[in-house]
Amino acid sequence: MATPKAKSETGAQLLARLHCKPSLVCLERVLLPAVTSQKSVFELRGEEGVGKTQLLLHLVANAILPKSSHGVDIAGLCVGVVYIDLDYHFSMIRLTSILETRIQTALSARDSSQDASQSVEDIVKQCLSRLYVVRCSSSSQFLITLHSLETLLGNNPDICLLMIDSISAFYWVDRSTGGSSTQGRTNSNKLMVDALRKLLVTYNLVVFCAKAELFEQRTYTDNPSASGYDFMGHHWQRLVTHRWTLGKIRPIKEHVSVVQRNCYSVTVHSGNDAQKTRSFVITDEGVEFRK
Amino acid sequence: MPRLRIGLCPTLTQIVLEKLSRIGVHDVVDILTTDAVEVSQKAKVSYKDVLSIQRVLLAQYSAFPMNAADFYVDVMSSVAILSTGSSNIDQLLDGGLYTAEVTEVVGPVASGKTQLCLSIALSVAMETRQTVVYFDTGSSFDSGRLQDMMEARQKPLTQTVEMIGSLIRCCKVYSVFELLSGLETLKASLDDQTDKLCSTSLKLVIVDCVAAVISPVLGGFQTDGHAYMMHISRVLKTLAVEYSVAVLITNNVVYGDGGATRPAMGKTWSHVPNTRVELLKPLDSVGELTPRPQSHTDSDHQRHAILLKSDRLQTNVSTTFVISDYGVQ
Amino acid sequence: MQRELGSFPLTPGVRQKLHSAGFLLVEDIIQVTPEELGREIGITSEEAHDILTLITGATKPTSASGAVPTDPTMHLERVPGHMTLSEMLQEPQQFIVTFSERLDGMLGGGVPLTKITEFCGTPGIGKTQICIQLAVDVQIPECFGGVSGETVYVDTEGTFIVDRVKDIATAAVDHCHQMAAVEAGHNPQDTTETFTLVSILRGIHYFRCRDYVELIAIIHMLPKFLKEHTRVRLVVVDSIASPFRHHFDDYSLRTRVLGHMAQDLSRIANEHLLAVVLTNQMTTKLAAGEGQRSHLVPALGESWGHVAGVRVVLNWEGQQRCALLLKSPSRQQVIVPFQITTGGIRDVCSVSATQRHVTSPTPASVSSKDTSQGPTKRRRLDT
Repeated sequence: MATPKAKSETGAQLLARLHCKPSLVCLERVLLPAVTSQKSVFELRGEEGVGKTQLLLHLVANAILPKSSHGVDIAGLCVGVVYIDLDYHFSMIRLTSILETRIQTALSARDSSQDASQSVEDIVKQCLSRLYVVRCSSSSQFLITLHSLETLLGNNPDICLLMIDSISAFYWVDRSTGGSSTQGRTNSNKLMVDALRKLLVTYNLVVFCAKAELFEQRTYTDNPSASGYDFMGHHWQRLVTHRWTLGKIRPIKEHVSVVQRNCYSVTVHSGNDAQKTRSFVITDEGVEFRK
Repeated sequence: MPRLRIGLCPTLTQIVLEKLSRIGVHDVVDILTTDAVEVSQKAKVSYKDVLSIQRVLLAQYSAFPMNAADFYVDVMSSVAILSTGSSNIDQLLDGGLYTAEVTEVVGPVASGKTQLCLSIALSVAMETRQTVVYFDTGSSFDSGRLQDMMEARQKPLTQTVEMIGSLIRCCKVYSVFELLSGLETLKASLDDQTDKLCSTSLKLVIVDCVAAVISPVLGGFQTDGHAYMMHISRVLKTLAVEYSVAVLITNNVVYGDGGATRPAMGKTWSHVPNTRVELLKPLDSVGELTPRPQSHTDSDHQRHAILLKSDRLQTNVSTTFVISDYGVQ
Repeated sequence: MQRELGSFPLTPGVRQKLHSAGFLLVEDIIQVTPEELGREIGITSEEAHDILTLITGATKPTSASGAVPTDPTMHLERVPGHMTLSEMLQEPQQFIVTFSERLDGMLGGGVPLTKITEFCGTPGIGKTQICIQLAVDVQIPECFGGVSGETVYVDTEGTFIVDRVKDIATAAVDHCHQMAAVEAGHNPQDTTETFTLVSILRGIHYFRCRDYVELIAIIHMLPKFLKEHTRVRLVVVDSIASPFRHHFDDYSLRTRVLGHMAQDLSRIANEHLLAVVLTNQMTTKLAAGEGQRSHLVPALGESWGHVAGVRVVLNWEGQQRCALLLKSPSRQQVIVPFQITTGGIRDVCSVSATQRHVTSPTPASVSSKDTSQGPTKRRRLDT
């Protein structure tokens, strides 16, 4: 199935495929490696309430915000995003409030005399028009949807990001219907991974996936590759190129502000044992990294 | 995976079906994940037919990507915030319970979870005149207590007890399957335009307590329990998001290492709620069975609420509330 | 209907067969005949018929002919156990009195029907006495404000003593007869015939069980038993803790077994309109950290604590037995004293003794409210 569908490709799809995707280096300067190649798959793992969805929304906001507006630098990427919301975690209210704050801050820095509220709402709407949200109710629907996304991606060459929140959503249900043998599950996982790989290879996508921690913490905190175990199966494990582990940092001082009290950490594991940890807080503008 | 059968699409005739089945293409996923050229050559079905089958099935079985600009308009027109009746808790939750979200209240025995649920149910019924459906897995739904609260709140008798009472519906469920059936039936009711429930719109679904039916099926060496748990989580979220309902559930706590409490039902469930609030009794009365000399002070009825998880708000913020004749204040 | 078949109580084998044959949703299976289904997934038609009955039964009401009705309208009303609040309010809450006015006041009128009430306490505090008292009191005829019921008494510790039942029953019968004599409108003749020591003893269905397997078995057969004995208004399990406290190494299994039992008891209480009374032992909870000290808590763990709607802890305060309302859906936490006499559970007569809790209704207010409703006017009995 990996053979390209040369005959069925339309002109628009061809263009989308060959279209030179903008660089994603600016998407997140702190976390992303200096050279983020397209076709990368980032996995964000962590327990509940450590900011997985928040980080995804932050990246979405960075992507869909315009580069500039009214002559003001907003520092967005102005690219399209598909958000596959498998866990019903996508919060429109939160995303729009991030967008509004970001735009407002940028605009007010320049000029306060103009009636900003109207233009802010317009820009937010423009941003949102670059985002597509898909919700799936089962793993088979998810698989079929991945195949059907070809049309959308073909018609919208500016889409270069795919968010999946979260990839582990159907794990237990599939496990109960897939039988006691791991074979069935591995197969359906393989189909999903193949479909995803085909999408990101054909359309030059970068994929970010949240993965909920479904089991008690094992020993992989130091090095995820050391344990070599991934409940999503080895096909998935091979697809992922970058792993980020998210966690909560206990506040050292009790009397800090509410924002500072909730500090999270993200550890970036790169291929060769090197890893770096950054801490961040969640603000109205999304995610803010600390020095 | 959905099976291929006659009637799924016009091109899918008995003959085509047999040809496909001969090369091992039985279900929707088989045909969609196999290349059209390959299928056509192997099964000797015309390439055009295979393509048209694929196209119809893709459209039918895939989820539809929604442009966020349209989605935004939908959300803004449908989102509602339901006051909990306690100004402190409303403040903690930025206004109250949001529709399209699953809010979990977690706490130890007698921390006020059921009181909060009853109080919110009554507030919603009295103030917004919207329907509330309360799934009671134990015997926590106390009609007498609701009546007392109603009488305490109603200074001018503008709304009859009868009227408010008809807005609050209670379903007693004692097993995970009964809860699933109840929730699915509720969903079917909302789909059906002729159903009585549609005419008075539903704004709040409460499940008190979800751990009581799920915990017994978890654990051991079988994983079915987790699957049932996820079915429940899915139907709750679907209700919340697709029918624009606020979902409020309660959960127990379990003691982990070193006496620290954490919500019951494990890691998998912990990812489910959008918002989680922990209720606590003030420290001095926790677990104390020896009667205190200065018994019956306000601290007996006072509770702490801590926001543990939220999509929208800063967490680890706490507030206090009081359980009184009015409900929760 | 879009419900997934995986959400039905099917065996894992059947569920996998259905799934791999492409039957995922209710709508996939609803039009299929048992014969077709059996052929498709390789089971007998009888098995297939059972599966289809289970699924259609849960989703659609079947008409008399057994055919699936063409109109698939659903209503929440069809969910078993569905009621609106106003419907519920039309059925007043009934109580079983304890013969201690202040204990009743604390509980809002007595031990409530349709709910689970748990009495916890150290050995010798009077848990079994309360159970026996309730087993007798549930039989008080309606003309005296009782519920005129019967009792199922499950004894796991072997502490049920018939002589005590006789004492308590005799006192109750005497009391009611005295009342009948005092009050106009009651023919003493009626009550002597219906409410006697013999009738009370006949109205207690006693089960002795020695381990948790027997206890589970008894609770499983209770619904059938209750169908045959429709007058039962009280199920006592004295105690729920002892079969589970020893020889139970797998705590997660214990939690599951207890969880199932809790749901079964809850269902029995609601569907048969009866009170479930459990007794529980106390266990020491070690200090979790600084500032906390070890103290006694009810046994069986945190999750069990959610089971009972009403939870009462009995303990000694000096020479005085006291009851603390630890948890209740409708009442505030209070402490009241009580005593155990030959005749059973009674109020403490000397008002000065432990008159310290403001919230507990004063004896005066209760007796004025409860007027001449019978059994609560037991002060005459106290000597």
